[in-house]
Amino acid sequence: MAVAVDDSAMREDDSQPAPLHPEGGHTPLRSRLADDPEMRELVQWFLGDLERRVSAIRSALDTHDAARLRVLAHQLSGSATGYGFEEIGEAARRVESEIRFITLHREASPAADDGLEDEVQISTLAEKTEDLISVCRRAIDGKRGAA
Amino acid sequence: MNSPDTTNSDYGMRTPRVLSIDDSELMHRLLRARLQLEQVELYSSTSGEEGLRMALELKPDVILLDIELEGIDGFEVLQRLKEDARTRDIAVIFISASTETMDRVRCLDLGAIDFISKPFDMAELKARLRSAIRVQQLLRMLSQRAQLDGLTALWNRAFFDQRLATEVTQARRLGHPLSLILTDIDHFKSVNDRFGHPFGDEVLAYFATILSSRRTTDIACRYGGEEFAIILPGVSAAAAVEVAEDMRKGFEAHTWRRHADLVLTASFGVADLTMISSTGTPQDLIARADLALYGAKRSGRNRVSLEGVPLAA
Repeated sequence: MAVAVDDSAMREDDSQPAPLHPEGGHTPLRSRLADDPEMRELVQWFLGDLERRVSAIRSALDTHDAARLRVLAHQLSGSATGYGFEEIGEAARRVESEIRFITLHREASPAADDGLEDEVQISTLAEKTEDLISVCRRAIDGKRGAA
Repeated sequence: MNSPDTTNSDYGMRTPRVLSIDDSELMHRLLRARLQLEQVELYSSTSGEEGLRMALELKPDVILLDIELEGIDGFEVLQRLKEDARTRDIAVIFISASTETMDRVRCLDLGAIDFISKPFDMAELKARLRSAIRVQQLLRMLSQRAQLDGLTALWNRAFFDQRLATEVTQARRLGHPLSLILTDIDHFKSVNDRFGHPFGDEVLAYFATILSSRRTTDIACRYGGEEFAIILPGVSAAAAVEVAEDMRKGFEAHTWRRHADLVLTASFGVADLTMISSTGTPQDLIARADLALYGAKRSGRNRVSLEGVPLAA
């Protein structure tokens, strides 16, 4: 589903994306399954993938590529819990449903189709994405801590 | 007993195959780790197009299908699976983060058999997977039932024709022997006339149990009326004659509960692949066995005959 957030519209009203969410509360996050023999190695693999994924999410956010962001968040929302990271799954779901909400909103009022004029929505999405990035970083830090 | 669930089809006793279609490697690796102890072969595909190709090729028992795929989405994949006769019977379980009732309704209406929400509990996924595999196996058994004769529970004629052709090809390719026994209950019409059709049915059903009680590899079929056929893969005519002889004795020795003095008998004709040309058809094999059966009848019934020559009195 192509929901590319329209750059031009954003430049037009010259508003900045929402301010970065402060990356506070930086307690390292540990997988609930870190000691599960069936999952131990896979959790490490997941964390390695997560480092690359966080960069991809960051760049999707910076380039306002909502379609890409949605895919990245969707993949995490479905599986992070399976790797023992409920918080990541929930944060990813919030991003996903925010994008879905924006999509529905745009489909419902085509008049607004020439851009996402609703700055509130854009800033909410940015905020939720920053939350997701932050919680992912906490998990990655947890890995470093353990190593 | 050549029970239907141990013979027939590509599926046979193979390990159930599960195909997971999900755009994320995260999901595939998770499933692989979590299902490693289950009795399944797991395959993964990251797109709808590839998933459809793999479904055709692998004939999986169950497909775990994500709704949100790049390219063609899960709904479309399901629709195409259901439109193609070759993939229609695969059980599809939707896995989706969507909690919308309408999405679930749409999946089930399109022919999915189950729906699991992401994130899912692994115990639940395993239980639903096992349940789907069980249902698949029962459905397969039911479709085989349609190839069974109702009265005797032996394979019916349609199945026999198809199976004999397969066995002839197979035996030739592997260079293995293959025999065919045709048998017919002697004077069956007069049994029906004298004792009535319900008793006649009882006789047919009992005869069927004698024909099917030997090896699991033998394929006993009701050929029509009181005539039966047994395909014996890996068995030469000489050995098949012994098999038929045991069957003949067994039937003759039976005491009929409501007609203690009654002795019923049957005649048997045996042929094997070496008795027809190397390009001979299954029909040629049937014709040779039929000729032998005719020989057994003409020389006094209640006997086994090979190539029109009666062998046992």
